[in-house]
Amino acid sequence: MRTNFLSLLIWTGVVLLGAAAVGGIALNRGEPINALWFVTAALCVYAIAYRFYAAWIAATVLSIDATRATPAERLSNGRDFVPTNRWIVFGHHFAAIAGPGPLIGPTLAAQFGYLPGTLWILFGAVLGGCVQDMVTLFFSTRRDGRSLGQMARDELGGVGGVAALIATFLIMIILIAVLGLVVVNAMKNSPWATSTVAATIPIAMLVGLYMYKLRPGRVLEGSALGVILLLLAVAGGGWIDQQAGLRELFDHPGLPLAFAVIGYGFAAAVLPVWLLLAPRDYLSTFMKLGTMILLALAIIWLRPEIKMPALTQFTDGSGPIFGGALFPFVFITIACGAISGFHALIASGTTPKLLANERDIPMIGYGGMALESFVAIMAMIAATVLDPGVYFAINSPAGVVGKTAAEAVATISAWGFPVSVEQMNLLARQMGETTLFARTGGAPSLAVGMASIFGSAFGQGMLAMWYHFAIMFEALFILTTLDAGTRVGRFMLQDLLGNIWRPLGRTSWYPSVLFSSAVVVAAWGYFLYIGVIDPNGGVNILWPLFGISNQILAAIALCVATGILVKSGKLRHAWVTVLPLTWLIIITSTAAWQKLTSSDPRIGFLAAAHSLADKLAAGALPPDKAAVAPQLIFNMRLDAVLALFFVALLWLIVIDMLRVCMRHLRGRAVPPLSETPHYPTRLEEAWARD
Amino acid sequence: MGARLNNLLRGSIAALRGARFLAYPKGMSRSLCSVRLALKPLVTVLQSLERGWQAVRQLSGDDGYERYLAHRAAAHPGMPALPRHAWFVHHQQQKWSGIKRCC
Repeated sequence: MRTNFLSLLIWTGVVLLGAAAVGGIALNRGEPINALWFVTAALCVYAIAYRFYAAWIAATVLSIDATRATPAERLSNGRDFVPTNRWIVFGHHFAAIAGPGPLIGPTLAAQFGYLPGTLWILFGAVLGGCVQDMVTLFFSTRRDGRSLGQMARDELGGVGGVAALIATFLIMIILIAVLGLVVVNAMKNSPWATSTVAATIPIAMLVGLYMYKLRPGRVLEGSALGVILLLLAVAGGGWIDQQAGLRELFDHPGLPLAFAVIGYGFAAAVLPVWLLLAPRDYLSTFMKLGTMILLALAIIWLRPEIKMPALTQFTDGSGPIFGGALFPFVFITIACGAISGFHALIASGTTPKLLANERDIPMIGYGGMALESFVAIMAMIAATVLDPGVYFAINSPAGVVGKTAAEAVATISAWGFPVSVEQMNLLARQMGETTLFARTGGAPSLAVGMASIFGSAFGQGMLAMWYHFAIMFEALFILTTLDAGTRVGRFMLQDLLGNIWRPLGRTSWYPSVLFSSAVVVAAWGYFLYIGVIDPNGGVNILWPLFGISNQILAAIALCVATGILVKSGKLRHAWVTVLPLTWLIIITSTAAWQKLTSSDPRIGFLAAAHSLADKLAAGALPPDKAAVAPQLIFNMRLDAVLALFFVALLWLIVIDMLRVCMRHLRGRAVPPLSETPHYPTRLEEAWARD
Repeated sequence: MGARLNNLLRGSIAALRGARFLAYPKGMSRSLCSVRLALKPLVTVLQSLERGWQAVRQLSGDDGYERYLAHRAAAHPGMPALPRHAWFVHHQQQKWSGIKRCC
């Protein structure tokens, strides 16, 4: 009785504190607000949602059964099926799902002000993303760790399976292109950043050789060595930046850097994994976890003031960073951090094979996503502690605000976000860069935000170091995603091509490896190339396309989950997945519709193609723009086709899911549930924990 | 290094535990007695260090080969296991054949 009363008291306190924090953030106008309110609001919302919503879903909707043997126990083989301590699984799962997405999306969405993005990150995660990850993890665990595509095929039929496969492949291509663009924009004309990022490649190879030849499998030793070398590379980049003869070697505009990234992607995909991909991943995981913990501590310690207003005038769709109104584009721009379909690929396939007990599912599925959402909140804080004028000067492409510094400053100040050329020059000097104008893509502004937070926590003298450390850290795991994504894309393509001509499907046959890698790299390389030559920055086009494809993958995962819930006789509780699914259908369809039909060339792909074609025909373009205009026009039409294709894919699978559900409810034949039968667990730990 | 540190921690925990149960020698000084009283918390600290280090090793995969050997010994006793180097290559190949990293 006493513990009940105590827990009631504590949870009432958490609810009141959370309500006060969320209310304070939402209702505050005009006055500066402290970042600690964001942290408080986030922690309270996650705690309440985890304690009540996740627990209710686990007990009532999914009926999690702690006495049931998991695939890790039944199929234990010491390789991929291994029953593992839940904290270790949590660590693996979180390291796999947390990539650069939750850092970049909120940074871009801050153009609407801090409020819309923050609310979507919090409520999108607890009602959407966390639920998606948790139910997918659960259903895959009940099906021997089968992948999302396999589950779609088994539970809904062939259409769903093929749709999931195609969506996964396309999202991979768009994702890699946009991430490549972010890295290119961070390295553009910055010898320090370029030389540091370049140094990560030989460092990763050195670590790979250490773990392969010198001391096989000693991961910690190799990683410690690599982390030290990476920190030296950040300092070394600063030295190179000062050397007159050397700095020119690393001082390049966007296009050559894009070709370097494309060449690197191809090399990484065909080299053995132990040489480049695996060691780079060890390093990026350590860096990622370390930096995120450091950032969280610095924010809590410093309690910086948020300088961005709650809402800006750009909610009407005229924003400089990407075109489009608050609805639906804030929900598209922030995918990772609120709801990310890609997680469904990790939550099915990889993680379920490690679960020792079904009881760990809420913590790993729901809790893992809540932590990623918290990372997104930190990125939002890092973007909004900057002066809004500085934020817009860094993130707005030259095509929107003007080519020269004076023009850009005049445009941005006229919006009501005062900034001066001197202020930007001083900031660039402090960060060790020649300019910070029009450094689109989110990485530079996040790095400036992180550097200013770290700088005030650990000393201002090191600002340039912190800035380039942040750039190196982002580039490190963006390149890991690029390597890993290209490799997965290659496997998927080989799988597909194997149906046409058997030898092409052999993953170890070198000609097929070279061919399929080249096709995948060419596909994302094309979008990267167009993104770099686009005077509006490319991010404006690619990021919404990535958001739409990622959300559509999430919708596919939720369709599969809804179908399974209905077929399991849980129609009454199917709203748990139907609620986020409906929202995703609304936002992705609206966004795709606007991307297709809007007459504003900054939003509509076709309008943009028309407007550019008209200008080209009238001879109104300067020669350098006229030279690339035909490629840009073709690309915008291609993007329109892609958007249409994505949304058609979504509706196809939604209708297929509804068809299966209706047939089931009417008592007609549907594909049977593919759940594996119940075997009691024999793991002692499961009993000992009760 | 990873395994050696583990063994070092384990060894010192065992040694300190043993020391706690040594008989009091006759005429043992006051200060030595208080040292013995401090052994218990010291063992607790070392134990949590050891547990933390083990978690780090397991999370990073540093103890992967030891786990593999343990699994072989339990599931296929008497059968030859892969040498460390071959195991590592095989493990990496297998780890990176699916979707492992996200956006």
